[in-house]
Amino acid sequence: MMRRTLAVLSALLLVLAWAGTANAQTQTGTVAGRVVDQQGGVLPGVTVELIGPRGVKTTVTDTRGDFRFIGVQPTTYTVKVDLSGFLPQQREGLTVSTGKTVEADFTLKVGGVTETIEVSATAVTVDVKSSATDTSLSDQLLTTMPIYSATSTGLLNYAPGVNSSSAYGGQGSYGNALLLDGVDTRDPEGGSAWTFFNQNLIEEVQIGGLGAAAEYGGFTGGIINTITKSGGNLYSGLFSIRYTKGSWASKNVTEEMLELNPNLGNANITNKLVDYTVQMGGPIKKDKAFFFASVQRYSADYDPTGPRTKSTDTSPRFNFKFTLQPTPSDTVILGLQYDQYNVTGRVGWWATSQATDSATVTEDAPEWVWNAQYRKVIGSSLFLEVKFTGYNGFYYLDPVDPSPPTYDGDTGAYGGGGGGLYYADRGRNQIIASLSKYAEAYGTHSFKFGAEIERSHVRSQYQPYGPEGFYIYTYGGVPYYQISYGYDVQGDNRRASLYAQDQWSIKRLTLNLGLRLDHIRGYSPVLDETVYTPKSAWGPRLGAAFDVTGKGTTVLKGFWGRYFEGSASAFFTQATPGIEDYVAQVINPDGSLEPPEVWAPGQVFGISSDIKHPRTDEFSVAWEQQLFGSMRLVATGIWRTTGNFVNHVINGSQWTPIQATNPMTNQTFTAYRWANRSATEDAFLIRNVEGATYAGADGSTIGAADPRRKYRALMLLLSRQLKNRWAFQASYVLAKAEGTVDNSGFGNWLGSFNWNFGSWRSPNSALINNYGELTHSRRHEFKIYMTYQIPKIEVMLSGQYFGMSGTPYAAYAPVSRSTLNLPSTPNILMEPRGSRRNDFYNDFDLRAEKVFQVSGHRFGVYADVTNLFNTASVTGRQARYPSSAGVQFGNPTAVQGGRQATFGARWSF
Amino acid sequence: MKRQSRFLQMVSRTLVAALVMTAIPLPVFAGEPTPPPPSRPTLTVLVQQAAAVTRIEPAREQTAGGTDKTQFASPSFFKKPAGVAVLVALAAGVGYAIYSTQHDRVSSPGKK
Repeated sequence: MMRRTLAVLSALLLVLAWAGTANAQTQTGTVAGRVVDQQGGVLPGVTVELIGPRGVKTTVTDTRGDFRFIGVQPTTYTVKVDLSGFLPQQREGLTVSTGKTVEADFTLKVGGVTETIEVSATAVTVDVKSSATDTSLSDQLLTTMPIYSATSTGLLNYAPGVNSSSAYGGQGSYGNALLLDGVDTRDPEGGSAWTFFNQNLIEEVQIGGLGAAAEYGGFTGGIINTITKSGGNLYSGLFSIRYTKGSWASKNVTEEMLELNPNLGNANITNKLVDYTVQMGGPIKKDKAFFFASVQRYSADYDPTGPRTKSTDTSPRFNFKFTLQPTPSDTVILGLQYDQYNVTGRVGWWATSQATDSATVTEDAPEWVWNAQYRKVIGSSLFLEVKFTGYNGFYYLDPVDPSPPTYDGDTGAYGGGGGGLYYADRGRNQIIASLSKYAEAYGTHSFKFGAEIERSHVRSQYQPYGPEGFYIYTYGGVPYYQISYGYDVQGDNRRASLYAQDQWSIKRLTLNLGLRLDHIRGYSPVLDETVYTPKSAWGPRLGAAFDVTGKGTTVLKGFWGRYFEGSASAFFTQATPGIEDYVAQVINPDGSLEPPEVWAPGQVFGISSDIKHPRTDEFSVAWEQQLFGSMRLVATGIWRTTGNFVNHVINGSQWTPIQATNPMTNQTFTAYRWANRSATEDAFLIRNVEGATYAGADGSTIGAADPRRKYRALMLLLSRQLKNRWAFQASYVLAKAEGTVDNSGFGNWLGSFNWNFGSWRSPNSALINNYGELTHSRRHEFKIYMTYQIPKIEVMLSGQYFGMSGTPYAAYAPVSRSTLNLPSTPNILMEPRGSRRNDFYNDFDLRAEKVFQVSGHRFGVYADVTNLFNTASVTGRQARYPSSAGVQFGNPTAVQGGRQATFGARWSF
Repeated sequence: MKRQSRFLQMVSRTLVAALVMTAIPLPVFAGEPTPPPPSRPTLTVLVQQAAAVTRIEPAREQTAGGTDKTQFASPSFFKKPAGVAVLVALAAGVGYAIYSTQHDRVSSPGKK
């Protein structure tokens, strides 16, 4: 039997491999259990019904008294068991979560057939088979808490160990897998969030990335797996509106802060917000066909921080989902989203702290997102899922004032027009297939095999200095150079992935074994050739979970695995044509121009054929304990190291050590002057930076690149399900992220395209003070959520507190480009990376909601107050020494938002 | 300072509004007569009630909370006042969002 099963699975795997490949991105769960009599004898042949919003699924128990429903859509269900001669039983309120197995065991008593005994479900909060540590944000939690986010990365920040979209030390924003109903919603250029969505659509969000199974790939940080609502047999609806205005905001910047930086006087305030949602779901044909539709219009008018006075965002968003169940075991889901982002007052080329209204850009960004899914449950042990997903859209930024901007190299001040246009066109298509099989041999097995094909297209056009095509470089207010630059690049990501995994349980021990293969290619439509050819990325995942007591209440977990970054065109687009020369013309005192001088040719970079895709290795151990029935305590230790950094160096470049002065200490330090610039300025090479060396003028080695990032953390989580009117979740994370490759910003992940620290082009940026604590290294992090339903008046009071160490930073100073013989002036670290730290961050948000239940309708009116205590944690400080644009080193440049109240109302049924 | 006082004013108004709303009995919103206060149950009645809870016939379309939702199972729901209100709210919300796609559009010259 086992051999036959393996043969069938092998054949199916081959078929899938031929068709393309798979990626799991689980969107369903499992309900399983055992039925016994009062003496403990197993009861085969018991009829078991799974009663949910889209009808009833039926199975019977096997010879061991076991039953199993696989491919179950996450929501709340009732399980009913019935056997002639016994009293029927049912268990209500079983919540199925994504990728989880809900256990529901029954003990039947002898009795009549017309009565049903309702048994209360024991709150099982510990998954004794999983090696993963993850967090679920349910629809209930998102409704209860003062949480609002229109992006996956925004929601990610509500999980322990995730801050500023940096998950477990990973690259902020760009290192996370962002899945919405199976659609990879990332920008295929670099991996940041592309698609926004309506939070009211969410059925469940699962945040993971620790101990992740092989079905999850394309991340080195975290995973956010979002499942949206569907229609059911009952008509359901939601009508909600949120509103706030400027006078409901409070100023939190102190006079002392204003003296240090007058720009802070213009705090970030929402002058007006009107955000409404209307949504409706229901049956088209009972038990067979269902619809779900949602429409949102988000309209906000901000007074942003800094000199800007106005920024607007008006986003209409339409979602439709059709679900067809021709048989109880077949499901077809078709989903479609159309939305627009109409934004004004966005910062373009200027620094945010200096940008005026005329220096902003407008944003035009519509998109279509689609997904088509077919799910087939075969018997009680085989589940097939096939998806076609993708999106197509663009976002175009245009300057309000297209005249050339200016930048002063002496003071760091911006001036002139807004300049800058950026046009981004994106498209992504994916075919995903997976097959799950439950089997028994030397224990129980839950196999999953999958394949995925991705084709995504990127075109990015950049004219940072506006239609005029140049900007003015001044020094001390005197025009010095007229500089032009721009690009129009294209790249296609072509990826095929395969994985196989097994959850193998032998009594109290479960082994979670998996292997994932990502085959990634970067193709240039302009060259009509594949330019990025990393080695095949093999990602083993080895985990174990041990049910310590055998009662399902305590589990010890261990995991080792390797994750690879997603595909991104930014890895290779510099190896394709389309980048213009960096050209400068000296401006004479009378305004006339000297002949153009090419400072840096817009050459096509070379790219190594011997390259490995970036990866993170993780080792984690966790102890998970159920306490007092409804509480859960989890302690997780995490060790992560990241490597295979893809970046560029200058092949054959030589550097002469020179003495420069540190303006902070007035002591000299060794800097490096490009000795053979004319011979090597077109010798840029994209490669793994590991192993790259820097040569002196005589050819001797003066240093080696040492790109690395490591993360260590201890994460404690204590949570309590809603019971006796109150619930909470509290977490504390002690962590440190350090290395030479920062975890903030796109440029430092793929390599800065300039000469500043973080770049590997020169020893000035690679060897000087480069190692230290990274930007998103929060030593201490507290996140507490609490909700209490006040009796009598039936008001739900919910609060969340975030407290965490400030972000590290270090002093840097510009060093003359002529001294170092570079095309532009580099910023060099004057002290080890992360030597200083911003203020400890405190924030407390509160929601009070009064709920009325009337004839099956729920009406709620609520008030949210963000930053209730109006604290003013400094979130950014001037790091440029001695100053920039009049703000002295160490003075605050950014402060958390002040207190703001928002009112809302909801009607649902 | 002006913003601070406005905020306090707003908070006090909100608290008053919340108190008024919470003081109003729920059935007023439902348009139903206020039921008489129940008499205190005896221990025997409590035991009987507890026993009854464990022997109920399931209503397949009920939620875990036990709220009767059968009214939402049929299209006839839309002929009732609540259903009509749903349709009106839907039409208004969808209509304005569609209008917004045209009226609020920021069109880039790059796409013209």
